[in-house]
Amino acid sequence: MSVGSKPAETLKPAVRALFEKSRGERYGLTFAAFEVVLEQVAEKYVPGATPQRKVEFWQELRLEELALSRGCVAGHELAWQEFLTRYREKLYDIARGITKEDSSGRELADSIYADLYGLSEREGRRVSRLSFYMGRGSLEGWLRTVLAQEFVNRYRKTKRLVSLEEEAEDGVQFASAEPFAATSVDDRLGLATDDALNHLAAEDRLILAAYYLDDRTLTEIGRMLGVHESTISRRMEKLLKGLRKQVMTGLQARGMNRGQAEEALETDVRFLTVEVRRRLQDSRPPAFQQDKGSD
Amino acid sequence: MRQRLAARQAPQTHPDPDLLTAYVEQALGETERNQVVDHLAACSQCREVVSLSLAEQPVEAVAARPSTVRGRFWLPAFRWTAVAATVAIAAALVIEKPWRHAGNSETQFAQKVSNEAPATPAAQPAGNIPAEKSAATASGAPARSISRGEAQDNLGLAASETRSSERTDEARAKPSRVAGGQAGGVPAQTATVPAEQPPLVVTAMVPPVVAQPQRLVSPQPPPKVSGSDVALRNTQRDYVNENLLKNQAAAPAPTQTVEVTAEAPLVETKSTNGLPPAPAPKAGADGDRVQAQKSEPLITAGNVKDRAFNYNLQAPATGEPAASPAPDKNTLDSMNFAAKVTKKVKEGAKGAMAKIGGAQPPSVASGFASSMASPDLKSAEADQEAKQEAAQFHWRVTSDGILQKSSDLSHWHEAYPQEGDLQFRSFFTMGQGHQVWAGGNNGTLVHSWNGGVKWDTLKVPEANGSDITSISIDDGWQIKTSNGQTFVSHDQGKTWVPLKQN
Repeated sequence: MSVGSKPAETLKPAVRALFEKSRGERYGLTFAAFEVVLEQVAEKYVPGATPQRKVEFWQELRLEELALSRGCVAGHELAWQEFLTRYREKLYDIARGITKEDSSGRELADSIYADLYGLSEREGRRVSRLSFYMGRGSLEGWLRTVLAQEFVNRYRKTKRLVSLEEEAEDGVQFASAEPFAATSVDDRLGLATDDALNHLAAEDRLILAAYYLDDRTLTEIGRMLGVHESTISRRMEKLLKGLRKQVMTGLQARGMNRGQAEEALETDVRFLTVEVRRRLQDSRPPAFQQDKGSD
Repeated sequence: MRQRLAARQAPQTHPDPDLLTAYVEQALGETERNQVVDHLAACSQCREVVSLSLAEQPVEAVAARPSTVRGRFWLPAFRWTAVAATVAIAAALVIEKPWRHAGNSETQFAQKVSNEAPATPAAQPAGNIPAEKSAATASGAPARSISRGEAQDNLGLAASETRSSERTDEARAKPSRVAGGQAGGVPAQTATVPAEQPPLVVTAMVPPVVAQPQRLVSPQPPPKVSGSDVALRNTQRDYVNENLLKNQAAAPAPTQTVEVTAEAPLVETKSTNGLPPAPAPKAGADGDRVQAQKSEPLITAGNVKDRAFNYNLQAPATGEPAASPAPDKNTLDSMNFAAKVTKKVKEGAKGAMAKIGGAQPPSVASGFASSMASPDLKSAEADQEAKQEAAQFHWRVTSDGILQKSSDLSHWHEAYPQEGDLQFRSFFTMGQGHQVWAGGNNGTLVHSWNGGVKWDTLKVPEANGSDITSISIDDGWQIKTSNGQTFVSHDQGKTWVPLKQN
């Protein structure tokens, strides 16, 4: 991560107030270092912002936790004491909650500690993962997300989505793909569906993807979106009705009459069953995180 | 559709943990949030991460649909504290009424009531506490003088209560019904009372019991009445009745007439509830009380709730210096309502009292209320609510009108399901966020008293078509609407009148 410049002199009073709020001195952070941190965060998330906008943005950050994390990165003892007091047990609890198992949870948490302490080296210098915390959310939430990412990466084999790439590396043999059914779905159905999906709002697509691809419950989807599950239920109902209508319109626009469109919509279930599995297995997610040092 | 969803190309870049965390904690601006949602819609791995990183939330009962408009609108808490206390007095009177006896049994009862807050029911040995001492210690009121007759009664009570205590366990196991059974002290009731219920001890502890609620209700002691217990209790009863009727606005007034009886047989005979009508009390009828005492078992923590809630008060017989109206047939419902009120006041009293400023310290009323609302009252649902009591809730309304709540200011969740085009505009909270009122469009006003677990919907017809933009308490409940009107309600939200006309 590049070293950021310092804020403009005109912002010094505001930054000073933010520094005091962050209690950075307690964690061994100097005012100058704090300025650099703030500027880094602003450059990453609000590049080119006006000074006023920057100050507003900084005021929304979790300053105290940001200062704590940077104190830990700097190896300040008091900062680490504070960090361990607050988060040591929580890390284990979070990891256990993610893995649903005590031993693997402990292992997961221990693996993160090495990264947090900065035992890993990149380009010859020690890098602590805490330096990637930017204070947008709580430090606890950030740790939770980091653990979840680590779990998804590390234990992907046991999850719903299977990576053929990793399994191939492990020497797992795969059978040949099942042939398609003789009567495949009309391409127009796929195109009409794509059109209809493209016109959906991002949240609606998220709901459908979480529900149909991830098999999430309405409660889980509600939590992902921060809404009540009954809201999700109503939205799904409305969404599917609208989607069907859109697809029907799309099919008719592509030359089908109403009867043909309805028949196409009752599409070959067998084909879908085969195709869905094949599609899911074919998905090859790219490299996961930028902040894992790949930049 | 699965196929088309799955076939969509996964994005090449992913949001960093900071962004995902901020998304989960709903700390992102609209633009960034849309970007993250757009990515999540296409990236199964990030969806997985988000799903895993969502913090475990406390289990909340889903308010799927708000209750119908009942027009219930909680009064400021200090009033409800008084209501709870007076209702608790009614409960105490209910307990005392059939088992009123001078002497040890009353003393023991007062002792048990005061000790019942944590309420592991433990029957105290009969006759261990002298009436005169316990009268002073249990209630804090000056011990009343005990007549010679009462003293003699006390001596005789020890034996009778020993016998009665043997039935205590049996009484606990019985359904909540006031005892029938042997003669003495059980007044005529309108509640159903099984004859198999062992007789209850009419205790001499009644005055202390009554005195205790009095202390809680008001700093003013009840008017002193010299003379017989009957007269004293009647006066106390009237005092309680008067306060109860005055303060209890929402619920049907429980009948407060305490039937001071001594000789009412405990076996069910011909009354409306199966119990014989209690004879009119006689001044100085200590002998009668003694007789009643002999036949009634001790009231214990295990059975006090049952006794109280199923005991129905009845108008005194002719000649009684009763000032209360005839008992309402809904007394049982009233007592159950009283327990609910007591509990809910306890929930809201703590923070609200500090803000509004009540006449009574919340701990006193709530402590007494909790001692009366013994553990028997706690159901599984109440246990869950008790857990919620300890939590403090924070509320907000988003820019798109969603009412959200959080217990830690980090994770926010929709607290009221969005129905149709409902959008919230304002809210008002108290009681550490457990009491919340939220106003929305089309004059919609909702209220929760338990942190969003359950909701009441209160429509303000006069504000229909406009949004409720402000809610406050200022000489009654006031709401302001988007068209510049202000409405005030002095009857718990049942009716609203314009305060200002623009």
